[in-house]
Amino acid sequence: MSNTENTKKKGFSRRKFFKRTGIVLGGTAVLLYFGRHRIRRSIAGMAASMDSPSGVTDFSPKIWFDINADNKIIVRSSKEEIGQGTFTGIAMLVAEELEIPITDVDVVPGGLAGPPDMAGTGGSMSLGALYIPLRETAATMREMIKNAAAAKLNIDVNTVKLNKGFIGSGSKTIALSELAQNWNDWKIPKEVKIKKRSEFKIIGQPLPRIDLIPKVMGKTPFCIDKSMPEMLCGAILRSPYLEGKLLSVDASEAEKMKGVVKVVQEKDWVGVVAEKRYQAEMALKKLKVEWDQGKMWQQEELEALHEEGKVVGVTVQKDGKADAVIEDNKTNALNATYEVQYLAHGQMEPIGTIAHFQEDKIHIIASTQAVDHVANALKSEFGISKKKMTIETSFVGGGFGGRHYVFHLPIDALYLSKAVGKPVHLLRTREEEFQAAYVRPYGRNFMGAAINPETKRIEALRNVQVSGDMNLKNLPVPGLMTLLGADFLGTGHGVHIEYEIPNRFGRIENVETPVNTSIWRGVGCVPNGFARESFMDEIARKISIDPFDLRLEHLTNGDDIMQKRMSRALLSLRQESAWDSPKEDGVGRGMAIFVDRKTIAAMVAEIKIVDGLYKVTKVTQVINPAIAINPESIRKQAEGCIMMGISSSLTEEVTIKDSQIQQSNYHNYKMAYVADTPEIKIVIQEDEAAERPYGVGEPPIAPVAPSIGNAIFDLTGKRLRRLPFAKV
Amino acid sequence: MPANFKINGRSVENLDIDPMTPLLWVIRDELNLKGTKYSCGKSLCGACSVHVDGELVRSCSFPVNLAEGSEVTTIEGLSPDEAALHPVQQAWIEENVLQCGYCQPGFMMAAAKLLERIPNPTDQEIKDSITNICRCGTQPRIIKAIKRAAQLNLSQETTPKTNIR
Repeated sequence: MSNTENTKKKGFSRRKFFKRTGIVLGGTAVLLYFGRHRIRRSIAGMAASMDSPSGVTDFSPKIWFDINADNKIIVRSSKEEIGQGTFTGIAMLVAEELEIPITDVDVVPGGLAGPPDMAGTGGSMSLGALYIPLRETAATMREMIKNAAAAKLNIDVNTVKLNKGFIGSGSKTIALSELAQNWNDWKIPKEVKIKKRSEFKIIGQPLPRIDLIPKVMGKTPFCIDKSMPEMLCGAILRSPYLEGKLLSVDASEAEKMKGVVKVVQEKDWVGVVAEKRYQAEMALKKLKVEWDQGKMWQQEELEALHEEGKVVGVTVQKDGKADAVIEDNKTNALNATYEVQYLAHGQMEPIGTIAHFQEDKIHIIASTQAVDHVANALKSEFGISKKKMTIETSFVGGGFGGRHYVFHLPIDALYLSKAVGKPVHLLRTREEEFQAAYVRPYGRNFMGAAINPETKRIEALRNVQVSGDMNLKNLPVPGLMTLLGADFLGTGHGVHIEYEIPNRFGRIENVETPVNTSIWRGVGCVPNGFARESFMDEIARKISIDPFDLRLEHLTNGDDIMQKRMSRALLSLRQESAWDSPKEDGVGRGMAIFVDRKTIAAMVAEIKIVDGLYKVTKVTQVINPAIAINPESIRKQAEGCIMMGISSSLTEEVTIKDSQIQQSNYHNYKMAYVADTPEIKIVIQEDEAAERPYGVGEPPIAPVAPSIGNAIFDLTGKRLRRLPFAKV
Repeated sequence: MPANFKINGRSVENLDIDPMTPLLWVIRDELNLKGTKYSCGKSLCGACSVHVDGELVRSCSFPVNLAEGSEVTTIEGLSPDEAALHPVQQAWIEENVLQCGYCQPGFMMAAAKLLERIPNPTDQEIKDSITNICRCGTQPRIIKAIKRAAQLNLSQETTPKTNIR
């Protein structure tokens, strides 16, 4: 029923109101214009502090809303539900302004036909960025419905109320679905008001997830559960070597197997299409494939590439002369290098695509975090316009950044479909998930500080991050690395030092390696949070000052609001974690605080050594996203970050030997079990004067690794500067 | 050799299938019950957990011929419908456990089995028994939900139990 073509033909009186400029990743066009040099620093600074844009370029009610036969209002989401609870948040924003119960709203994945979204689902920006524009859209929808009902029923618009799918006044009511039959004639009101925070009835409530019951019943369809008529099953093999090339394939045995329809060889890979999944996987194992293995890379060699000052980088912060001050104060200086490992995303639903390639059109069902990126990739691969593409999305079984840049899977699936002339479901096995993965890059942080032991103040602090890239090589825009100098928006996010220190130096350098690297929950805030907040602990120990006091003494003076927010978070955390109370024997306690795009997350970890392993036993976290849309969802995101942070700090690691990723499944890539769950306490803080909320999906992970590392030092006196923390 | 077994009380007769096919793919692709999930394929994560003759089984690594003549229960058969939820499902809702939800049917099947073995488990017993994997980080709520389900079970002791194996 909602038809964008009609909308376009008829014209939208208030189109400008709904069309928004999609500033994505700081706006590539702006960067093209400004070029290199010092402007990069100011852009990096702006990017670190700016309010994240939604990436959505069209907020017309007719593209966002649909009304179905049972009178429910359907929101077609441009953001994917990857587990973070965004659909529940969207339902709350919409229901609030429509003035209806949340149960009368449903949210569905919009796919390519839904609202255009250049950003995809990531950066913890979905709800914060939609907070105002989507409420405006919902308020507009509310007025449109009311006006249409008043006209239809010939009643005063001020008496019109929407109630359980019926609209009207007193006994004069009409079903929404009936009213919506003339929806293309509805007029868009000139002005709509959105509610003040004090007027909210739904936003701010700790509500359960709207997708709870279907998921508990096992009924929610993920991509893996979908199908197309006459669909076959596909499996492919890509080079297991970092720089490997496909030389030859002997498919004679595989082709003879029952159910095998075709063996398909492309430039970089070989695939099997079979009637059933098991047949496709068994046949893939029977292929005799010869690879040109390319250069044999080893882990140590890759790590050794990460030296400071070898590549072009971007200085994102330069106040005073940090390096000179550190150099001149040798007796009161500290220098340390921190390292983070390669990491896998490990999401439970493997990535897959169902694809049907027809003569001049494409139909896919994808499990992706960025449907517009997929469409662009398909457009450039097949030369087919977006109008001739149908891309459906579905509920997603975990993302964590792992699905953002995997464009080759839909492409591969389409080639398989093209080869057999039928729809094909291409699904990665868990082994492929690990071995053909885009991993979180390995990286090093070169930290330095000069301290005045008399005043107990830090005179200079430097953080130079040398790491693989997370974004620029993956974006379908060539030459970004040359243009920008470094990925300061992803990898280098978090290099910037907020503490009030007269000499500060922050720099990001991206190393080119043959490893496919990409974003991972928290992006640069994980390596930079680990390095900086562990290093702050080193400083506190050196001058014998409490780690809380050291931070409270160095809160930025330039930004009163941030200073107050950070101070409030630290004071609350100190109290809630009973930081100043005596510890049990055998317990280590450590703390850390980090700001990720204005959301503050501060944490105290308590650890013990159990059976020769570090064990996190208790976590207290304070999170301040300025406004809490749904406190229950925020708690869950914090719990998720704490568990993923514990897991990636203590056990997870991807390593490379002879150019191959050594990890192949969950037995050799150790993720947290139920047994690793600590006692968790989460405190949510809000700011009364805030105008919009900040993200919650990633910020709580940044303080996890450093607070655990600091707790290990507290217990053992050993400073561990590499993740994952080694065995005791 | 055609396969014969029962699933969620329904008979599957003379199913033409390679006997080595993992039960998981039979459940999902032949019987179209999509609540049981593929994730690791090696019995490591538990996303594919089902009950076979009352035993907890990771169906990705369980050939269908081992289920011959057996009674299989999947998440779809754990409770008759939304109005009469299994205590584990009820507790999962009350504790608002899930995030992406993909691994949760497997967790719930494992939890239901645990409660039959240990009706009122401690935190440590839950930690020792549940070895499924979740990446979203629902573990803290899973512990709470299993304890809540135990309480729901105990409070229902007086009423006759539905026949859930």
